[in-house]
Amino acid sequence: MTAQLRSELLKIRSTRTVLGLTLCLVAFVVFLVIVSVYAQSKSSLFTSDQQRDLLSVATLAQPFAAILGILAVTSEFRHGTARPTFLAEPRRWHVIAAKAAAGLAAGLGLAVTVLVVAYVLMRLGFWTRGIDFVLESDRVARLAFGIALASALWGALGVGVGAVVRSQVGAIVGLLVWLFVAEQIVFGLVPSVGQWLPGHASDTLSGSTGDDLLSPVAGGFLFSAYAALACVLGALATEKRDVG
Amino acid sequence: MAEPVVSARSLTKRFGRLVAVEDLSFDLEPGTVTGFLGPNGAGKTTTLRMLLGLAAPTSGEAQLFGRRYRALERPARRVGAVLESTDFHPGRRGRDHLRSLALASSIPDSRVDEVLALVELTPAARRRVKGYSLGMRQRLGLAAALLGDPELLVLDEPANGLDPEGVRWLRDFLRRFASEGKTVFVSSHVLAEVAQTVDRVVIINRGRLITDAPLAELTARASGAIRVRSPQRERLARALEDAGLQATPLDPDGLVVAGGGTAQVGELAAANGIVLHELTEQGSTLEEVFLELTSETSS
Repeated sequence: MTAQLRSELLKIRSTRTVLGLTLCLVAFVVFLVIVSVYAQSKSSLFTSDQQRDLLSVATLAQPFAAILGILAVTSEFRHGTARPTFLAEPRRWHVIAAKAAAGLAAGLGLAVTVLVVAYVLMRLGFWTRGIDFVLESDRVARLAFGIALASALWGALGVGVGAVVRSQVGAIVGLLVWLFVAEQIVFGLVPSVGQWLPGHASDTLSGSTGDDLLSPVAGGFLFSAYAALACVLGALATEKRDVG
Repeated sequence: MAEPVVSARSLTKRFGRLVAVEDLSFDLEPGTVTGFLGPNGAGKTTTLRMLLGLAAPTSGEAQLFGRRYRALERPARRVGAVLESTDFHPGRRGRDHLRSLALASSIPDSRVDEVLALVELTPAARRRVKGYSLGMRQRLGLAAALLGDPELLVLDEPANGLDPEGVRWLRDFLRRFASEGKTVFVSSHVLAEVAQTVDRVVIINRGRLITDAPLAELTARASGAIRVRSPQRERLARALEDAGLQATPLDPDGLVVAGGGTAQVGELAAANGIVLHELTEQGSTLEEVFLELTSETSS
């Protein structure tokens, strides 16, 4: 299993996909931080809560982590490398488990990268504008931990979704539509149901607050369960179906 | 008799109502090169996928070295397979593709460089696969199959898209591989392509076994046939069949006739007023025998 994990980590590292996704994500975050720091009036950046919201831009790592997880599986089917992969390790659930672990690592890596970028850029921007950085370090730590964990879990969840759907475009579009359309509609109409959905469980884990959301700890456990469920379904689907 | 390296037992695969492979059984002996032949769509690839655990048989069983593929410990060290010549991520370097597979099978990087040298890809090893020619991709696939120094090599249509030099390289390679006592199972839809390489042939059509025989037996069958061409082929075929001969269409206006001599065919044509453009005794080629065998079942 560790052999397969090393194989999966090399696969992630050895194409430009991860580099491209990371650069795209970092560019996005840099843009948002700069706009937030320089385009807003100073008064909307003074409080700890306001500064925390600004750092929360790092949650953008989460959909990218999910896409990375999806690609880890779907690109194997798209390019046919699934064949040599499953010839080398015919116990297919081992492959999915190793990919899930690699997805956790990749999601974590993405989150840490953007957290560092956002934090450094924010401090620099505040310094140039003469705004005091009042966000307490324990709040920074809690936010960073939540975002990092959620992002890692999204990486694994993406693997599960990719293994169930197999189609690259289908999986990515499906996930984005689910997150940004379907869940928002459900949550808007029936918050008591919407709060239990994966996107909202992940939101509360990564620092969103609201009367209609679960507690971060509950959200964390719930979202972990979603990620685990996706991986189990992905492993079952991969075991059951033929490899094209 | 040694334990068969590959043993297919009543393999059957259905996709909905379509029967891709039906009740297919055969064994491969160690140290042989066996050609797995049949026209396109005969079920060859589906059979290979079932042998290799990529597709589950609807019924029946396939065993390699006495076990299902999945149950093999370290399968890469027993079996190497190339199913498609395109199974690479275009953005990955050739060497990294091999390393990712080597890692999964706990094979050291030094072996990666060995197989790269073996298939003469060392100079291109650090280039991304999208820049590879088809021949280079074929060889990279072969290199992947050889990583574990396997005892059995399974290749699906490996000569597709190769230039004549590449085909000869492959043929020599497979011969060398088999001369070390290892086993090769190589599929093709063109018998001529593998005729110089294989000891045995397993021929299927429409998912069913047609022939499982030494190549020599097929060669023997090839002699004694008659090749005849006529612009009135249909009439000729009827006349021949009425006389109890076997006529199999070939090319646009040709027939391969079995069961009679040239004299008899010529006389039948004359008696029926049919024009002949060619009447040759053969030595029909293996290819014609192959076509004959595979068309018997499809008509």
